[in-house]
Amino acid sequence: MKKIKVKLFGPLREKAKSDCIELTVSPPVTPGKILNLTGEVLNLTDDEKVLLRIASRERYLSQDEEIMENEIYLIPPVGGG
Amino acid sequence: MLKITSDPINVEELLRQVSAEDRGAIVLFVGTVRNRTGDKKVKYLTYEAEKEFAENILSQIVEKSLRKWPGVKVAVVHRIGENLHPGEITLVIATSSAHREEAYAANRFLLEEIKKDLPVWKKEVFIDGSYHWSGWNN
Repeated sequence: MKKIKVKLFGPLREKAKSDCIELTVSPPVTPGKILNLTGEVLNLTDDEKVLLRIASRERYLSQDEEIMENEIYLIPPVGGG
Repeated sequence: MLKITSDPINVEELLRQVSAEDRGAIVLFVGTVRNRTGDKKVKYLTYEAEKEFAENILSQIVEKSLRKWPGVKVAVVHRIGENLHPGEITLVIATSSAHREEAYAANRFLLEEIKKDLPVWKKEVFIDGSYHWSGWNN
């Protein structure tokens, strides 16, 4: 099992009342597993989960790639501009 | 210059960054806080981001634009922080090129990519005390 720190922003940070959560995930760690576990912890609806993306510190991760990092970013819809 | 900052944006500084004698065109996009969303009056905005992470993604967005338009000079600054009131500048994208087509195209491309991918979150707080996270069902 691998411990992953998930950083939260915007509406997710507000919902969690924290800027991060820690998950214990069975390998291989994938964005899909992270989304499902986070969804359970934060009580997210399916409509909310489909809006989310996963990123490392450097880049967005694709849905099927294995996550090697110990810290990832959970990205709700962005609103820059 | 690529920057995520909580300081007010100096538009002239960005203009200087992309100016040069071989540039025949400079395009400047200036995004500001709008005073209304739908039928609700906006009191202020909050833009939230983790600076280093957002700057990493911003660099990638700019690199992508430079692959499409290699001769274009680019400068981008996005404001973050609380209590950004209607009329305040929140984003400036400056592009320059020898001829106007490339500067316009690159500028528009950068804006759309920023709106799609830059990890900055917008919270609109309305006059009636309610608020809304952009893109989120709340």
